[in-house]
Amino acid sequence: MAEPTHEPQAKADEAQAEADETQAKPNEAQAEADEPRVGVYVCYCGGNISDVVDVEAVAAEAAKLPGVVTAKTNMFMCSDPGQQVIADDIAELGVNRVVVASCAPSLHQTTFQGVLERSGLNPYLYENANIREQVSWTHHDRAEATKKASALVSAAVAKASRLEPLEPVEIPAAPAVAVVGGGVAGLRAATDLAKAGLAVTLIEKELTLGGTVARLDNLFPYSEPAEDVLCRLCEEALADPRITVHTGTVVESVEGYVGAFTLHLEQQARGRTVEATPDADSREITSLDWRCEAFRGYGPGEAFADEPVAADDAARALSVPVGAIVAATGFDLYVPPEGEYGYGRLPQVITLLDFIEWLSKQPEGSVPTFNGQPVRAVGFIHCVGSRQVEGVHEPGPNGRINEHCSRVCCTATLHCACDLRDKFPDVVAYEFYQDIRAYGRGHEEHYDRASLANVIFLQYDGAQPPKVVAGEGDDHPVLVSCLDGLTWGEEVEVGVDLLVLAVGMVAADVGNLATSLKLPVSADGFLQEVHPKLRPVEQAVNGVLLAGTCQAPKDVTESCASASAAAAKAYGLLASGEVKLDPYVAHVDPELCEGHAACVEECPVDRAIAMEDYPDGSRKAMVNPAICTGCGACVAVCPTQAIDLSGWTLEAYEAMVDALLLSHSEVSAL
Amino acid sequence: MAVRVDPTLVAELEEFGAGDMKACFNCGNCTAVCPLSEGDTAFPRRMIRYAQIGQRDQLASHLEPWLCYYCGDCSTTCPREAEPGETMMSMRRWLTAKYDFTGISRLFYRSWKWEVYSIILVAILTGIAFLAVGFSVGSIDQYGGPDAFLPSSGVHIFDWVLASVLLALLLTNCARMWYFTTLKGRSARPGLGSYLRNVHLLPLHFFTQMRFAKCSARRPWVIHLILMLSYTTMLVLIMGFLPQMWAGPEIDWRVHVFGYLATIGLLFTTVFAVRGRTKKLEPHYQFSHESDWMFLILLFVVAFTGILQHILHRSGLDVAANITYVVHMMGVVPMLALEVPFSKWAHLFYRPLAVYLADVQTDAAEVRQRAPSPTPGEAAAG
Amino acid sequence: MHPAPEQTEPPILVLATSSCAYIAADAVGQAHLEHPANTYVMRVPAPVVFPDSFYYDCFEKGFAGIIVMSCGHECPYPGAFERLTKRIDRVKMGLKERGLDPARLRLTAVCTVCTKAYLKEINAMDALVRAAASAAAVTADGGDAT
Repeated sequence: MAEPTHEPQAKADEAQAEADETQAKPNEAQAEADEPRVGVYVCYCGGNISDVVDVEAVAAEAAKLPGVVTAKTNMFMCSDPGQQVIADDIAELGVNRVVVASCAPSLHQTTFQGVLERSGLNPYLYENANIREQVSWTHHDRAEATKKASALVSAAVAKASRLEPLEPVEIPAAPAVAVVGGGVAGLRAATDLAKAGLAVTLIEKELTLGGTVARLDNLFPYSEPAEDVLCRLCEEALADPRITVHTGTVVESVEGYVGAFTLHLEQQARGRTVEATPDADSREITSLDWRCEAFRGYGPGEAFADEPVAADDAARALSVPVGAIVAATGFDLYVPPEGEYGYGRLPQVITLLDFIEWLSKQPEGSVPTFNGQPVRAVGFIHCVGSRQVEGVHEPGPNGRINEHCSRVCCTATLHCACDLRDKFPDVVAYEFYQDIRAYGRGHEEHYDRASLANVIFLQYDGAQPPKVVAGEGDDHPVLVSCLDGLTWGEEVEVGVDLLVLAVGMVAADVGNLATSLKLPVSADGFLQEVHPKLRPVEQAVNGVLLAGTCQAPKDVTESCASASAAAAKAYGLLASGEVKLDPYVAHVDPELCEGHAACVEECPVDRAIAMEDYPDGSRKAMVNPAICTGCGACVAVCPTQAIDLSGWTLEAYEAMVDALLLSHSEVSAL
Repeated sequence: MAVRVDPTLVAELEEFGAGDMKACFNCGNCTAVCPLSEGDTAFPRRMIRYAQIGQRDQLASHLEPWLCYYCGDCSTTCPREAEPGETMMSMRRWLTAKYDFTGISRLFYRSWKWEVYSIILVAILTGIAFLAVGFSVGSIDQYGGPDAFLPSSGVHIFDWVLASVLLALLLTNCARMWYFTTLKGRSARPGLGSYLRNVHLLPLHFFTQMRFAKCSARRPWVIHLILMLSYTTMLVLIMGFLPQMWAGPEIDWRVHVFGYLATIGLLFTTVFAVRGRTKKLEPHYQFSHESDWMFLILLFVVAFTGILQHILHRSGLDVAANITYVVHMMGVVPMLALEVPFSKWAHLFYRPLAVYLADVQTDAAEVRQRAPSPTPGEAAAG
Repeated sequence: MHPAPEQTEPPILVLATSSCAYIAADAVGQAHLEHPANTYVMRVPAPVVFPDSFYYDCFEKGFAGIIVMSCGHECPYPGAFERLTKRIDRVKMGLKERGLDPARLRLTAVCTVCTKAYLKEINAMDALVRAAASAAAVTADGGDAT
């Protein structure tokens, strides 16, 4: 229990501890080599635990466990006096393993590890027993709860006795990042990284920067011209001496691991490499004009049609060493198979992107025309290639149907319909939709605008998509009908002169970047993050970060947000010049390893474990801690138990099982 | 067979005063809160959707717009502020124009100038005619007696002639309403029994507007009822007892007590409605189409001049009474000749008829349901 | 180390992944959702670490049921879940051969906020092992009688 009278003593001890720090460090190795001396500290949590659990009884039981030298209680173990109790025992009683029985480890594990570190103990010699979330807050019977708390403490003691000091895996890291993809996300990430002081290599497979955004006219929700946004980003990127841009360049292969990747690149003929320098004034660097011009309307090869071909213009290979990789490889637009909604058969059926280009080229104040024919009515179909239904839609070339929602097309389509009605108020617009998912700030306003602009909405069911036929003998060349949910499922038909398919976003082929590093993809084919909330822009492959639509359908705003997040993560990883990784990776005891290589076979990660030749002629397994993810698959298959997971050893688990069962039977027998 | 969308109907209804119906996203809150929408009559939502996609025939074949009394709950609840109540009102105008075979109604509703100029023209013609007749048959200083400026027997005959013409017009339009909503394109038409079983409802709805009473706010119904009963009373008095109202010098209290009450009712309700519409005091007073103003102004003018000429006459000022009487007729004739068959007044007949027909249709549907359907065996044998 | 079954509630071992199910268990606590106390949670990075023998030993030593709460297809360790699935299938076969009900070993995916799924699994396993324990007790009594 925290008693005020202890405080002066604690302060004095702290000063003493500081003074002794230089002495304490050398003691560390020795202390840890000794027999485990476990200190157990049971927290009242101000009643949160002690109201249900007999905390004193738990401590008393713990004191009887083998290897335990002291077991104490405190009102708040996380308080300064509570922490001081541990520090004192480490100094005075020679405690060299610490178990705190308190709340969930997510709350105070780092707090207590800090106490160990300040007291000169390796922080990995700490173990938690979660007796609040798992006991006092979920069980109300005092005897039962106390019994379970004791069992959890005994398991924690069993594990703590077997803990070994660990050091984080430290890898020297190159202060350089490769950004793969020169679209809006790649440009955003590259400029953020460069501003943070890292060297950036921006790799774009097309001859021009800008990605899909370069083909857009203006961007929802606020209708700013896409060109302005891209020009500003390109200007920043090209003016920054820390960014090297390679266009017309693809990733051939990737080697290495976090902190030390090497990207092998292949640049096609007429690709560009731009290395800016602060005082440079060459056309290569400052001529933003050609890039901005090149954003729209040009296919590869046409981009620099007016420029003379350099004599030495030839494909070349280059290698770039980097510490981290930002994947900003973007997405592909869904391409409807011939005949889907008449696409490819009726010339008046086009995609939303085609429509945007068409609309931007129509002179204002006239009757718009398509293929020479006046356009008086335009239909839009939402969810083309998105939210597909098994059995209704044919699987695409990748063998799967796109069940996901592409998220951006609703607002994009509404935005286009509004633009159409604004520019040509006499042209009628129809939208066939399933649900309007205008989810973002400023998005719903476009629905408002569209409905007030008298865009006529018709709701279809995903299992019964609209039907499109040629309007033979009709006023309009294309007839679209659906069972309109807003009209009680009656079949409603409209005649249009142009039918626009709001095609969705599908996963792009990430190419050799993904295959070289075995990047995990989710069920929809997009690159997958470790955890959607806890680690939203990190890939399971350490050092690979996700920016933009390679991860999932996103709008430009969200792409830029995730790109900045990825840049910040990459900077955090590399800023100190070395990457510190959790030490919870596999390690091999060479004395036990007999070279069966079962671990190498079982390991799901390439190059994490390899067989090494030893001077004595034997071959033994060796773990690369920078690559090992710490899943432990190898542990289960080793015939000689030579490989184990640092910090989570199989032996410790077995001891915990024994301890749990012993406590369980003993206490309940009382 | 798919129905074809006609995007022009929305704009057309807007000419008839429709609210912001484009904003409607078909959530159905209006129908859910509507105290009058019940069973299969899913208004206002269904009517608004038909309007959005331009289903003119569907709109014309439904009685729903007439089953709405515009209590305004839908408009106050609408999350999109699409004014469903006003849209239903505009549909009633559109339907009035649709039933009217002369096309005059359509002209009046879409152009207030046509309506105003027509009223003024008819008023002037009436004035000239009545003055001409008056000066030729009597003397301006004589209100009653053999030398009366406007003898009551003559006016009475004129009233009946006018009423007959109007009735013929109205009944023709009512027949068209009946045809559009109950007969046209229907495979199952109500039997005679359905009409007879419900026939009592026609006068009942006409005189009480009892459906209006289902609205959450009662006051609009009470006001409407007072106006309606005053108007009907006055109509009955004029058509049946004009000589008694005219005769003097003794006041015939059997008719005059009703006449005074009706006048008070008319003056009170028209002033109440004008004030309400000016200050937008109630949900159904938020939007006022030109036809709404015309209706109120004419009614007030007629009621006011009617009582004024009576007072002047009773005060012995026969010249002033006669002039006022001509002015009174200048209001009465355009009101009856133009407003009753072609504008807002027509709802006096359409609405009770619609409510009656809706009951007939419901009755007919029940009859069909009760009728034993042929069993499969019988059907096969047949 | 063979506790007599009539003396104790049959204990259940929960292997909870630190990135998913362990967080769900915390969420259950934060919501104060009561459930049987004979359940013991062990935090693991990935349950693929345990060899077949670990499961057999646990049953041998006295656990009446084991729930492996993984992250399922959201496993942060690529390839680990597929390997785990195969192993658990194999161990279930082994349990059958050993005369143990394979339902006592359960593999399930529990996400960080899946508190309902967590409780459902716990309660289902608890019901199962209790039923088995009482059936065993009856059989034992019957055996005594004959």
